Amino acid sequence: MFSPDGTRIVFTSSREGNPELYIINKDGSGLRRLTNHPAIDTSPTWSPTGTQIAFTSDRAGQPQIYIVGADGLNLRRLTTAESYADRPTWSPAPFNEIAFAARTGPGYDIKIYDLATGMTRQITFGEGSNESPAYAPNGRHLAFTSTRTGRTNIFTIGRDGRGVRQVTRDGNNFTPSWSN
Amino acid sequence: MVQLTSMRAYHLVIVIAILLTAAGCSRRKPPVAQPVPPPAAAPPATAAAPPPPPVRVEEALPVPAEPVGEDSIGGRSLDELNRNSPFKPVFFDLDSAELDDPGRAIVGGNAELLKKYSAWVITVEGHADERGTAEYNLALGERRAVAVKTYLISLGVAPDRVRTVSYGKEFPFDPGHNEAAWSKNRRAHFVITSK
Repeated sequence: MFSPDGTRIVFTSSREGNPELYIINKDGSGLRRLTNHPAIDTSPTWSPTGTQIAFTSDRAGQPQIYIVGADGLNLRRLTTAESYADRPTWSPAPFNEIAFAARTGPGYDIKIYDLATGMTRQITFGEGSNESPAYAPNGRHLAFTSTRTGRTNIFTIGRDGRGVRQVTRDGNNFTPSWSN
Repeated sequence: MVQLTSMRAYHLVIVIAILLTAAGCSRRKPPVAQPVPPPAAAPPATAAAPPPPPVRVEEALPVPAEPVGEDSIGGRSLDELNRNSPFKPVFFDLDSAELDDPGRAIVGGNAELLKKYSAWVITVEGHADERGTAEYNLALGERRAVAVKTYLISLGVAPDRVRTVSYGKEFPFDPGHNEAAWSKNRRAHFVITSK
């Protein structure tokens, strides 16, 4: 995933045997390892300022959302009330929140963590399984996947949970991402 | 008239086909017949005594398919090989990338096959069941594929002959939504990519 200024990429690699996060400049130089843990570290997303990265790790047993500085320091766990959380997506400014997929039964729903208040709100409610949220560049909408119409398709939804629209209709469709 | 001629030609073709098949069978018999009797003879040794032998030899005839098939593996196309793969898949526990004893035995058998066909290059695909999220399952599948590759290397397979890829939960072997299906989907699948 590109940093907000477009100069760096954060990605998951198992080049050293275990899925870890790495940062590299877009010209391929300056590779450095961001995480170092025998658990799975994956699904990174940049903060709007490019100074922090939220990601998923199962270092506590089940996948949860964590935040770490882009320099690898100041790691902290963000989600504590979820049994399983994955695919964080950091909103663009002026919104200051992180959306993610949380297990809410046999499937998942999209929740949003407000970094200013520490409060979490839910924007999908059990219509199929809802995963892989991705903030639009304007921050007002998210793309996500849902099985609500049968197979896995891409939908968009307002950050207030309104205005669901189906984008794909054929086959199974995973892990959406927006153009800028 | 035309019909009669074509009927004759048809019968002629059938007769030739039968003769060729018989010739083919008689050609195949010698190399095959030799390896077969020993395994067929082994089990009856524990059972009854004199009458079985002749019968057992007759029964052994259908079995030759195995040695013949194995010998012909090298001549098959990649598509044929992967459609009816000589490699066995490895299965994993929920949210685990650890090879258990049966898993290690399967990878061991697959390693032997790789040593026998030393030009083959394979891709180990890591898969997960549908219960995890798409992104986490990609990492989990990657871990499973890497675990298999690591074990293959420890058994003497050259690292550059084994590639890995993860498909997470995107290509389930069994589309069901129960443990019977999930247990089949938590797997590492072997695909021959060049030979």
